[in-house]
Amino acid sequence: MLKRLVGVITIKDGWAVQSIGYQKYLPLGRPEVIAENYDRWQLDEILVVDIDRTKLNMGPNYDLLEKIIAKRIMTPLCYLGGVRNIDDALHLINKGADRIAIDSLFLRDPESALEISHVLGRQALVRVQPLVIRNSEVHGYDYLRSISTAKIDPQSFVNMNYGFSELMIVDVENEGKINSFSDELIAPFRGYNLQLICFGGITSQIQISSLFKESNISAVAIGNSLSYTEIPHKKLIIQTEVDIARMTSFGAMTRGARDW
Amino acid sequence: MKTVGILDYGVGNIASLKGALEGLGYKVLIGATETSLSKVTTIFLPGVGSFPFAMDNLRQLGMDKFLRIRFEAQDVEVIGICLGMQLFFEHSEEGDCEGLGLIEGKVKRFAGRECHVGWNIVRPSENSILSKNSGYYFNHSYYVECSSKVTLASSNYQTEFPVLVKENRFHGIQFHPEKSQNTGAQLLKTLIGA
Repeated sequence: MLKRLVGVITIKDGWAVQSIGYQKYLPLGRPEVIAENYDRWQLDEILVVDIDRTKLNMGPNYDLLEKIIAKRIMTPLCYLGGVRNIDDALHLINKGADRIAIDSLFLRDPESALEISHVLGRQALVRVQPLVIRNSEVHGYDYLRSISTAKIDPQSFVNMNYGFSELMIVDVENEGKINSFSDELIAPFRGYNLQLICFGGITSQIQISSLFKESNISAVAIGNSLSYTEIPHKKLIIQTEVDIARMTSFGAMTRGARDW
Repeated sequence: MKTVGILDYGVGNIASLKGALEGLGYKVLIGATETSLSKVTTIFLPGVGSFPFAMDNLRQLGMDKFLRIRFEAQDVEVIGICLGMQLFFEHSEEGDCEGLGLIEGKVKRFAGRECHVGWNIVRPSENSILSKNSGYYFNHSYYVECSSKVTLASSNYQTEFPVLVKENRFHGIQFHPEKSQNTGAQLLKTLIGA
């Protein structure tokens, strides 16, 4: 399985923010500028998360997407926030998203979620599942109501697996903290045919290398820590043959995607 | 400044491709009819969607016939990306659906319903427009099986499969050059020309 590093941009009230445990938010700046940086640094993928849209039933933030696309980024872009139906999803793809991530729609309106998958193809769809640990068991988390939900049953995701390509699991309680992603969250999913993206409290190379040893983890997602250092991802992942092959066109001294 | 066309048939990542092409210095014309694309010499067939949905849309627009005529006439370059490439072939397991049938070959599903997502190495065949191994971004759950005669480059995920094909003046690209940063930009410039 290929492994990749996803740069997350969390949006609140139109601004990119540092998010801490889904509760505290500190401003970082304009989302399109951060997207431009991630593109310049040649991250593997960018995930834009607008946390207001589902909560306020506002639909996707097309204006935000247009601002980011206007920067002509050439890094794959995934969007999460406010998708309600196939029309929203098609409009997002048409506006410049390459993939769509959805979370609560799979629970609230699974028919619409599966229709999106049917039309766009499951490779274009990522399912997001916030998780918490309660009494040593992994439970879901409903961020709209700020409560933990039922114990996670991985088989229920496998049953729906034809509807999405990857499952992004979010460590709610460690999100925004340093080097703290809980390995316990992965345990229930071992042995199941699911491709996982891990997010929340992932900040070190040792941690990422350890996660990538898990056969079913296809990506790790990092948000806050990318914003405080220049090209931090170069220190976070060990370069592979693929990373080197991405540079060959313009030589080893290439400085980023914008050199062309 | 050269103008290139994008065929908008309702399932492509149009804005994403348009932004990348404009960033490379090309003018971009988006159209869904033969008339609207009549003045360009390169047409992109993008693709983020399912095979049956895409074929239905092409037929409803009458652009399946348009593409077949262009393929035989060899009067325009057509570049199919991802699903756009898969549509060139005879049949897809996705929805058990007939394709455009321009190039001999079939579209098959990866074993275990896995998705090939991320950056992977592309290896050129002999006489390929690529000169060496390069890294490109992939996102697909089906792949093409076709003759090595039309294959210009291949990659490996579960199996070796073609990722860059050419017949007449139709190029098919399984990965996303518009999302492959430096290497993708260079390939697009090579394919389109000045």
